[in-house]
Amino acid sequence: MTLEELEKIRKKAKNSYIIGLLLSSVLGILIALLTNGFFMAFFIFIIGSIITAVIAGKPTKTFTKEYKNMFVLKSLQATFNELIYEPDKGLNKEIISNTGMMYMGDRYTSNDFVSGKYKDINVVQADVHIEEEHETTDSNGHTTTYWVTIFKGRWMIFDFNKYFKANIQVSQKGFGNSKISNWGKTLKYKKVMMEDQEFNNAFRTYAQDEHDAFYILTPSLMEKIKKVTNNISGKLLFCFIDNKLHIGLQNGKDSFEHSIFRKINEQQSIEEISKDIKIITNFIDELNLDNNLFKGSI
Amino acid sequence: MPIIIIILLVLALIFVIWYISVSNKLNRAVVKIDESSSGIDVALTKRYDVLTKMIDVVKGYAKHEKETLFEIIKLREGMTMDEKKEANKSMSETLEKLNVLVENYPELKSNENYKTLQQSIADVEEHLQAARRLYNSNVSLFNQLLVTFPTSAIAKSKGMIKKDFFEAEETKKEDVKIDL
Repeated sequence: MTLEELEKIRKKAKNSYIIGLLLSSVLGILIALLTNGFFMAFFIFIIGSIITAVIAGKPTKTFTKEYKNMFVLKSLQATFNELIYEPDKGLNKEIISNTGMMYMGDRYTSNDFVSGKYKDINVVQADVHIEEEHETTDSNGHTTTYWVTIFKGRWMIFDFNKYFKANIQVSQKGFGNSKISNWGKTLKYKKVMMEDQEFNNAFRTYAQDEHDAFYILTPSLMEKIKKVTNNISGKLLFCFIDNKLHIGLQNGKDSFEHSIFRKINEQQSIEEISKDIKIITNFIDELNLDNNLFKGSI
Repeated sequence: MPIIIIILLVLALIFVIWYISVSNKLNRAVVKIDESSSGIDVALTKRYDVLTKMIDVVKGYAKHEKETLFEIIKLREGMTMDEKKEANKSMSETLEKLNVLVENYPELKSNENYKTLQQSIADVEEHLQAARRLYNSNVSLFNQLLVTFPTSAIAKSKGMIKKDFFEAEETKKEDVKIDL
């Protein structure tokens, strides 16, 4: 598919949305004026919007698929070896829940699964959205259900360059809600105070074993974590478990996406995707995860 | 019962509860120091074991140099912190001598067994640094309690004194770097 063809699909999707919503609004207003019935007008608008979403949904889906195929896949291939990219699939829920370090809420969705090797380090990442169901009841006894986001962002898993036995969690203050912040207390992990006061001020550290926390969190790694945290938008969670490093980046964003309401600019798209990819590779580069000095020991 | 006596009894009770709680806090701090001190023992023993294996491998290549280069390092149970520091220092000196010696034996440098031992010693030293930092962190908290009034008064009544840190050698303050 050429860029022009992709742009045609984008315009078709965009126009379908605009025309559909415009017609729904006009029809709603007309009915409101003619019948003086606000409820009916609102009902017509909602029905029109649903029909619009169905009609525009197909070209939107085609556009997203082709955009990712044209731009995202190529950029990922240029960065990772042994790449698997599945835009519609995500991380298996159990991978995150089995860490025991994340409150999983009531609804879980995930997409943009990426798996590959960078600097010979195994990397897995996906967009993840975790929500919790809430209910409110009004004075008439009507119950309304709504969803509160617990986590929205990216979940990344890297090979870690040291062997360790105990699980350790480092969460940036402000990451997630109280259910996540109090994770260590509920599992009776020890709260560990590192010797770096600046680090303690910015992060909560919980560990099964204090020695392993000090073994993994060297002064150098703590400095690097602080630096990485300062240079990224969003809040971070680091889980050291089963010789892997899980990183949750809560930034409320969907990575590798392009809005149908914005014209495709090839150069800008490549730059945006590169930024999304750099978020992954930066952790390996900045935290020196490719340093295998401690992994070949007896 | 006169009210003044009740007040005095309540105050005495508050004092006893406070004394017990501060005393327990100090005791817990001492236990944590002892636990982390045993972590240093474990790490020193591991370092000693790997170093001994390295010396054994080197001996196979540099038979005539073994007696002049390597002093016997002794580790025993119940060593004081100063003795531990001394043992650690001796091990570091021995390791330095080994590294210098290995430069003269290229075939030893490429020996797979020796390479693995070099990686092991790096990991063991990382564990030793972790144990040292944990111990020093606990000592620091304890020493802070000892100089903070009124905790200091109870510590004094229990005969508690400041603990020594396990100082890092200058070369060990940075992350371990070994050329492989």
